[in-house]
This record gives sequence, structure tokens and C-alpha cells, in this order.
Amino acid sequence: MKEIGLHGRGGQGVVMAGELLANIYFKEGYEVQFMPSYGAERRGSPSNAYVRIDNKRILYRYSIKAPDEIIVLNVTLLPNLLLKEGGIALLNSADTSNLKKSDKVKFFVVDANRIALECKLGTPAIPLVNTALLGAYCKVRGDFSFDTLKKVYEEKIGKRAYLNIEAAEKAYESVREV
Amino acid sequence: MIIPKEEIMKSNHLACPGCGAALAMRLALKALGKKTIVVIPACCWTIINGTWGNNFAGVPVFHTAFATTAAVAAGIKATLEMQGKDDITVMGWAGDGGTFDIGLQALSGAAERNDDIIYVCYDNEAYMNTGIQRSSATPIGAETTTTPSPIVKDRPKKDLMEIVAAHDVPYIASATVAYPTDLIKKFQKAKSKKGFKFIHILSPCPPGHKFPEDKTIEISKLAVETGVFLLYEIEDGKYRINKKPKFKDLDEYLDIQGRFRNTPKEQREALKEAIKRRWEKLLVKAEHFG
Amino acid sequence: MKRLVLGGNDAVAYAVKQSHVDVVSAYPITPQTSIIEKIASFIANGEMRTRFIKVESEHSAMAAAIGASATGGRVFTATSSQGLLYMHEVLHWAAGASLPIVMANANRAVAPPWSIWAEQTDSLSQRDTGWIQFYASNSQETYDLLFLSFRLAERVKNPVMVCMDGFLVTHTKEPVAVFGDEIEEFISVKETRPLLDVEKPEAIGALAFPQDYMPVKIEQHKRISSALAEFKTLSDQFERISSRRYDPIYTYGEENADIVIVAMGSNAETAHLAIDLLNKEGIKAKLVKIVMFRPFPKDELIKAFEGAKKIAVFDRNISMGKGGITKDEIVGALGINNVVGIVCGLGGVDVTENDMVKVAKDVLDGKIQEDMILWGGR
Ligand SMILES: Cc1ncc(C[n+]2csc(CCOP(=O)(O)OP(=O)(O)O)c2C)c(N)n1
Ligand code: SF4
Ligand SMILES: [Mg+2]
Repeated sequence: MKEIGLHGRGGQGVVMAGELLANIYFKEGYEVQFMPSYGAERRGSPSNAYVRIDNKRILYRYSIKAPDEIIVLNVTLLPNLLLKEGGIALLNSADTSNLKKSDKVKFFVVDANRIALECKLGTPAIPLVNTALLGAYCKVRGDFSFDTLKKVYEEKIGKRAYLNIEAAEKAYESVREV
Repeated sequence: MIIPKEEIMKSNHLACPGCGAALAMRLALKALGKKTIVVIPACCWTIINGTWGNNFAGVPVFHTAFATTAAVAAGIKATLEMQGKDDITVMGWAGDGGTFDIGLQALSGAAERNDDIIYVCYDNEAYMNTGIQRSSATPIGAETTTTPSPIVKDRPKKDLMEIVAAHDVPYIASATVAYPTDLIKKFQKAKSKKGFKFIHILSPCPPGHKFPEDKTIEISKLAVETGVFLLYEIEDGKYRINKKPKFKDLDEYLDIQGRFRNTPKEQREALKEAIKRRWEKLLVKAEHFG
Repeated sequence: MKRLVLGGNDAVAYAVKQSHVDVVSAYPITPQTSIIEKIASFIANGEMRTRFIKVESEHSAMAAAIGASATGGRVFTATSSQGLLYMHEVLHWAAGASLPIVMANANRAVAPPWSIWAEQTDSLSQRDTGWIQFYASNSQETYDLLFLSFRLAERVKNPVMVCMDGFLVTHTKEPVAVFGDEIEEFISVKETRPLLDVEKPEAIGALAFPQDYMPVKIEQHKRISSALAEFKTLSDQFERISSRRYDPIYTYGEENADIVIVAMGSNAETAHLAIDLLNKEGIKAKLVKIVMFRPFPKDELIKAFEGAKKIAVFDRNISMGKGGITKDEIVGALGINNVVGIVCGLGGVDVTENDMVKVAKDVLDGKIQEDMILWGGR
């Protein structure tokens, strides 16, 4: 089983990212479970979602504390996030100068804010970076095909899917390990 | 008038940026002072005031069940009276759902008994805490998650001021956050009067009405200038209009709010018509019962 | 049948859409809200022909449902926690008037303090209102139980509540097998009947003196009790269409177990993992999940507990001053004394398979003999 955490702030599309990711893996033939975490959320406050992926039915009915991998839509949250040793952290970031590297975790970065705005997703105040980041994640993990991602976006997003696919492509191309 | 400097409400509360309801409380408490007890039912303010262990209002708060605001406030006042503590103001602070809808029965009961409380409805025109569902305060034409396009809200907003007026209580007023001195004066007046006081505050809500968070005051002001929201008082049965609307173009108010993006033309017209009719009625009342 | 990734709430909304419901009357409350939002959008898109009464409170939600059902409509509503409690008076009314209303309840802890997270005290404290109660553990069960509930409610003339743990079931999305037209033959059978009929004018619920009242209540008790047998009949039909089987209780693990874990709702999912761990350690363990809580499946439980040394009942609910409610029901109905009650997970606290394994072993070894509250601290 693999557990993925998605972390951002209200308005960035964290919950939608989790649901899209669950659907992508489902389309690839996995059993999936998507668990948004709900609290006293307000615009701008932290928002988390989790996805479990397995080859058999998923029976865990409790929250995920330390996932195997995290996708971080807003890096200001990073200090409060937990991750399993040997895990992967994919960050939405243009600048890695402040990043404290660790040999226990692999970091990847992509400038999803810029990509989202180039693709007219969200507003300059709150770019909608969720779909771009999943494109980067596809490249980093390589355990689902970009084609599946495209299909799921088309099914779930509708009219504006092409912009999100474009964002995902750009992120796929530009994600890099730190 | 000078706005009292002292801040009773604390910063870092949990409202969204640009929340009209948070600003409304801040101003109300400036007027009422520290000797105030607040009753809050289920609503955004349940969250704004902080989770377990917090109290951003800065005065005692009793969190209560959704429908119970006015009755709990009446109970608090009854004991204060028995204890001879006459200098403490009891304020019920509920959203439009907790007032226009589920709490209307208790509100009517307290008003009819003339219980000595201030009942405030901060009106953001929908159930925001549960994620933007329609209430009977939602204006005609507005989109919510239970009135999704193309079937947007098809009935006009309930006229609560006039419903409360039908209870013949000492003080009723409307206010909104773009007019802070007017709002504060009204709370001060309410505090000075005995019996049931009702204050209706229009509170713009950026995520719920879908506008940028720096537009709260502008929208509050436009609501008054277009005549969508009338600023008036009913004191001991006498009507007084506090601000005559300029009747600015309603579209200006509607177009900056995403909730009216899918409002059909007929409903825009219905809204305009409703504004005109309410104003005409109010004029007659102010003339004959002023 | 295709599989979609759905949460319990989505599954409920889909089932309602496919169930030819005439009237929905509901009021929003977390974590039920997305059910009624989905239904509102289905209606707005023209995917569903249903009248949705957007009431001003839950008391009115149930009251409007009562009116609609008494007139012969197929009626659905949904609520949670405070809303369910606010309905309490009219819940009795719906059952007493033999109205086949179906309601989904998102199990959520009761205030104060405010909480929006999973706990079953809300619906279990409606135990005596005369409603049939189901507890679903996952999205598939909520979906399937909804179809069964409409049929069962109408067959036995009694309202049905389908309960699902807030967020843990309502919002947890997973693959669900969704019907196409094949469900039609099952769900299109409507046995609703108008009590209010101008051709046959009758007064419903008039004052009954003691001699009249008691027989009515005996009748009502018989009616809801018959739901156990009727559920099996309808389940047979449903299984033929879906290949999925529902019974008042569900078991998993060693047939002749020494230790039985009893759970209801989302805990029962995690409990599968606990059973696997115990069995792997050579401890003969089985899960008994209560699916139908009212009427109470006494005979089924007697059979399931046969030969068990110890029974550990995990309750995500509490009767203050007493303890776990299903534990109490089991002891009360079966009169057995090898049962230990474990109150756990109140207000949405996590309950893991490791928690369950540890407690189950201690119960089996006699290290835990008294009822307990499972609480590891913050
Ligand atoms: C009896 C009951 N029903 C439903 C709810 C769920 N609920 C909590 S807040 C809320 C909406 C509040 O709306 P409003 O009064 O307008 O305040 P707002 O959140 O908009 O500030 C609802 C429906 C509840 N807590 N109790
Ligand atoms: S949703 Fe609206 S009313 Fe509620 S806290 Fe946010 S801005 Fe304020
Ligand atoms: Mg409101």
C-alpha cells in the first residue's frame, strides 16, 4: 500500500487534487481510497487530503499521520508536515535556497504557481496549482501514465480540461530533483 | 462621533480575510463594552470565535444549539436580573439562518415577551458555515449550492425587520459595516433601552458571495447606495430613515459578486422592482409613523 | 454495472437519483450537506424529477417528509447529529404513523462542545423512536442499503434510517459498483400508499384512550419486528441483481472463534485488519458486524457468538453513566456475561487495527474484564 498526502491552503484545490489522483490510480486498475481531512477550514487556512492506493480492497478507516509521499501545494506548510523515512516530497516552489535538505527524504520541486498562471488557472493571489502538480507527480513517480491523467482530467474537469492538461504537461517537463 | 479606540475583540480570529461578520462584531463590542455576554448559535461565528480553549470575542460567550439563541439569551438575562446585575448587556448573535429560518420561533417568543436583550442578526444571506446553501435571507436570483444554476433562488428575501416590527418592540435597526459610526450609534442606543432590541447587519462574505476579499466595504456601501439594503430604525414604533439611497445602478452591485453571475434577466428585474416597492413602503411608514 | 470512485454521501445521492423519489425535504448540516447539494444539482440539471422542499429546520424537514409520505409519495431526507436530535419528536411521529420515509444520517458527535466528526451517539439515542436502523461501513453499503431501505420501508410500513460515520464513510471516496438499468426491476416496485384519500376519508392519529392506544402500539412493534424476515426476502432479490448479499449481521474470520470483535459502522472496516492480524498470530478470532440495529438481530447474534470464549464490543458511542450502547443491547438481549464493552473513537478519534488487536488479546486473556474507555491521550 502507498499513502499520499496533499497539503495546501483553502482555495488552491487540494481536495480536488486528491480526488483526481485517486481517480487516476483507479483508472490504472488500483484500489483507491480518498480521504479529505475536514476541520474548521476557511479560505487561506491549511487544507489536507490523503489518498491510499493498494492492489486489494482498502479497509483502513482512520487518518494518515505520516504518508509515504507528500505533494505540497504551499511550501509555508512544510515545517508542520510529516513524512515517512525514505519518502518523497514534491513541492510547489520556484526557489530552493531555503530548503533544508535531508538524506532521509527526496525533494522534487516545480514552479506550479508560474505554470498555473501561464495556463490561466486561478488568480495571481491564489493560483490553482493542483492540476499542474499532479503532472509533476506523474513524472516523479512514473507509476501511472500521463495518458491516464489526461483522460481523468477530461472526464472530471470538463470544458477547461485542456488548460489543466497543458499545466500538467509543463510541470511534467520542468519538475526537477533538488 | 469618534469610534471607541478600545479593541475588545482579539485579532487572529478564524474568519476568512475580508469577513463582514467579523468586522461587525468588532464594532458592536466597541459600542457595548466589556460588560456584555454573547450567545452564539451554530454559524460562521462558531468558528470565527476560535476552537476549544479560545475566545476571540474577548467577552463571555455561550455557544448554543442552532435554534435557541433568543431563548438562551432571555434565560441569561433572567438570572442576571435576579442577581441584581443590571449593568450587563446580553446579546444574541446569530446568522441569517439562525434568525430568519431555524431560530425565528424563539426570536418571536423573546420579542413578544419583550425580554431585555439585544438580538443581532449578522446577515450574509446564506448558510455559509455549511458551505453556502440558500436561506430565506438569500436574495432572489442568487446562486447557492442548493439553488444551483439554472434554478437559482426564485423567491424574494424575507423582510425580517418588518416581521420583528410586528412584535411592537422598543428598538429595531438595520446597519452595515461600511457605515461604522451609524452601526456603533445603533448599538449604543440599543444598550441604553430596556426591552427587546433587534439589529439587522448586512455582512458581505467574500467566499460566499464570490468577490475579492478587499471589496467588502465597497459592496456594503453599494448595497446601501443602490437601495438593496435600507438603513433605518424603528424606535418605539417610530420609523426613521438614516440614509436615503442614491439608487445607483443595481447592476453595479450585482456584477461584482459571482453569486449573481447566473441571475436571469427577469430576476434582475424582479430585484429592481422589489427594491422600489420596499422603498416606497418605507417612505409611507416614515411619513405616517415617523 | 460500472465502478465509480464515490464517497458515502455521493453514493446516497446516486441511489436517491435512481430510486424514483417523489419528494426530498432536507436541511443542510455537516457532514450530510453534500448529499443534498448533489440532489439539488441533479434536479437543476434535469437528471432527476423530484420535488425538493428546502425547509427552514430539521423539525420541518421531517414534518414535510411526513406530509409527503402520508399522501403516498416516496420520500427521502438526510441529516446528522444536532439535526437528527432536533427531529426527535417527529421521528416518533413518522414511525407511529407507519410512514415509509427513508433517511440517511451522517453520524456525528453531539455538542457541546461542537464537533463535526464521527460518533454514533446521535442515531443511537433515537433507538426508541421506532425507526429501522442500518449502519453502513463503506460507500458500497450505503449505496446498496438505500435501495433495500426504500423497499423495506414500504414493505413493512415503517421508516428506515441508514447511518454512516461522518467523514470516515460520508466523505471517504472509494470504488463503488453503480447500477445501470438492472436495478429498475427492484426499485421501480413502489408499495407506498396514501393514508390521506378523499375517496376514503380517515383521520390519522386521533386521540386514543388507553384501550385503543395499546393495541396500536402492539401492532407497531410487530410491524417493525417483521423487518428482520422481510429484509431477508428483499435481500435475496437484491442479491440476484447485484451478487452482493446483505444480512442483519455480517461475519468475517474464523468460524469457531475464541474471541469475537463486535463493531458497527466504519470501525467494522478496520476490524477486518485486526482479525487478520489475530488469526495470523494463531488466535482464533472473528468479526461480527451489526448491520441492522433495529429491529435488533438477537437470534443472528446468538448463533454468531456460539462457542466464543470472549466478546469485545467496540462502541463509537456512549450512554453517559452506562457505557457503550451496542454492548448494552447485546447483553440485554442475549443475557450473556462474557462480553466486555470498549467505548472508543468519540468525536472522530482514530481507532486502529492495532488498538483493536491489543484490547482483544487482553479481553481474551482476562486482563480486561470490566468495560473500558479506550483513550490513549492526546
Ligand atoms: C439543528 C441544526 N441543524 C443544522 C446545523 C448545521 N449548521 C450549522 S451552521 C449552519 C448554517 C448557519 O447559517 P447562518 O445562520 O446564516 O450563519 P452563517 O454560517 O452564514 O454565518 C447550519 C445549517 C446545526 N448545527 N444544527
Ligand atoms: S464564510 Fe463568510 S461569513 Fe463566514 S467567516 Fe468566511 S467571510 Fe465570514
Ligand atoms: Mg448566513
